Amino acid sequence: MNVLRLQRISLRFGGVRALDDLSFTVEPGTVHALIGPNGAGKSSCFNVISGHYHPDDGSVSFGDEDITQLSPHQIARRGVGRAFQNIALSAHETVLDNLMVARHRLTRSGFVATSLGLPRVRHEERRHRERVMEIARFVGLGEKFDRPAGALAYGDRKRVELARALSSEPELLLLDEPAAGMPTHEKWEIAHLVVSVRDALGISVLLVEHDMPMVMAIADRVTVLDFGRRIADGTPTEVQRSPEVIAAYLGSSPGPEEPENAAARRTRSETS
Amino acid sequence: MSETATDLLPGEPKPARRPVLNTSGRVERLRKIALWLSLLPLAAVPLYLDGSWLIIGILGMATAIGAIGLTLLVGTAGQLSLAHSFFVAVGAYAYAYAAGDPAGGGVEGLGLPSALAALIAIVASGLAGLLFSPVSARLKGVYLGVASLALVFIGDHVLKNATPVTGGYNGREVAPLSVGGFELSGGSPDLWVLGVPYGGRERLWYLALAVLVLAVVAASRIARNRPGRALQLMRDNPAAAGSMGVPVQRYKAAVFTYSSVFAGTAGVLTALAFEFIVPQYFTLELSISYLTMTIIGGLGSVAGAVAGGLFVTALPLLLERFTGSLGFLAAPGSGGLDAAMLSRFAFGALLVLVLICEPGGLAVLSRRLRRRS
Repeated sequence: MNVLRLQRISLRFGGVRALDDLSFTVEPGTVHALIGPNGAGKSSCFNVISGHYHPDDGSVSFGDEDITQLSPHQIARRGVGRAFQNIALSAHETVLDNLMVARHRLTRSGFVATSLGLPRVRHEERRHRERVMEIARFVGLGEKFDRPAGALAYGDRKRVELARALSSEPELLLLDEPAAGMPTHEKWEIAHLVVSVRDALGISVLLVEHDMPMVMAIADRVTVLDFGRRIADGTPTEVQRSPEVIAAYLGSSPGPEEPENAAARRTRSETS
Repeated sequence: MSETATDLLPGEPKPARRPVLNTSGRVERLRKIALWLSLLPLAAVPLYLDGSWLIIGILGMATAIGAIGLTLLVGTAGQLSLAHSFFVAVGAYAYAYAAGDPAGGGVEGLGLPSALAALIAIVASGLAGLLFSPVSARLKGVYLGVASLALVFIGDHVLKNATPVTGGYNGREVAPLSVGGFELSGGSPDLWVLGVPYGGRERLWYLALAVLVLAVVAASRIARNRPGRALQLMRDNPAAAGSMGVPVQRYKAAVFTYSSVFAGTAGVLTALAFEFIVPQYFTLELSISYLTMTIIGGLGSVAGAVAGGLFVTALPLLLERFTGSLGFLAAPGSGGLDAAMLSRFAFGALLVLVLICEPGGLAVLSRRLRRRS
């Protein structure tokens, strides 16, 4: 199992520092939560890991390999799956087709073999379809395979998004707010799912989520971002007690010092 | 494979095999059989219609093949191209050049066996599409459409000025296609079927029909399977496609190349049908009418592209034939409202109508009608 390691990542958009000297490590087999107020850089961080952004500084490694400069499909092929926050499905295609696309890295049929209708294309299709249907049932989609993804209820579309990421059989799953906008009982179903993704499928999960009770309940480790910087990193209980975290969320100063300075010093002392 | 490596929850009951898709699979199979049976009357058409009617169908089928390629590119992959006429021209001229008589008056030729020439022509248009991949892989949607315009202008210039190969403004003759001495688009040797003489057009009808069927089958497979799903997600959300392991740039180049192979095939058949090709045919206007076909038929629908291709090609030709009996149509070239003009108006009106009322085109319309009945 591979460790995901971010080392001193900096990402700038013009004058804005989206990520500032950010380091953290996702251990295999854990649910690792990435939290922070809006605009803290959580999604930018995901985009750096999945190769949609390349950082100005620092490195991302997965296992022994430096993946900082790889493109998204190369990172996906190494076993890093991603579910998007704003559902990124093909609305007109069926649920099954939406899930099958994630098998891309596991399948081979190209333009020529598919046009010719070679038997191996059909076998591959059938084999992977069965597995994808299992995954759909696993996330609680039931038998809605033939429905266009766009016709499903919001909660089900979120589940398709999750199922699609799982369908790529990742080793590490990047989950961007899987329960956002869901009613409480559905949120807890998703929380339960995330835990079983870790326990039953053995997949490491890097989770961005705003719902604190959920994060505190299911995360093994929490990294807190504010203004692109890491202001805390530890177990849920440790993080909850951190004055910087309380300040970042409640907006009050943690003491005589400015929160920014405190956070910066803390990060520096931890990384050195 | 990795799917066995990560088994699901141990207590989970094993799901039944394909419970939902089983029934729709049977319906699908029946539909497929019905489709194949519907080819039988089409195969009998040359027994009843003469060459002047057949040519309309042949050109329609040839164009439909090109339209299928374009609907995959524009509809399935969301990549606009205005260069389709360029690749049709590459197919047509490459065939004429490769199969042309080296000793022909004025224009050169390689004098290759015509079946080989046809193959070379199709490969050549694919290669032309591949050569454009530095552009087609990097640009998306409308921007690719604008960039592809360059090819139309380059093509136009080459066709008119590379006189030894293309015959310049005057065009060049196209040798008939023959396999083992039997002409598939000419009259030799003599052939009679049920008392009907089978000349060039009767034979070409079958060739066009066979190639059209192949094109439909191949393109539907692409659309339904792994490449098509990747293209659809690339169209709907390129970032997500990347994260699902789809090499987006390579797929953009691949679908562009694939569609140019269809265009080249359409070019070869069109050249065989015309027997003589001139640069004035392969213009931007041809690209636009290919786009018109795919939009009227419903973007991304293979069946729609066929319907659109047949309709857009056949309407002006049919109107022209009936100019005499349709009192309001002026003779072509007389300056009045002639068949070509009227059909252009009709296409314009239809385009607007489709885009406003039914962006899914004929494909969605027919599906809706079928569901209602």
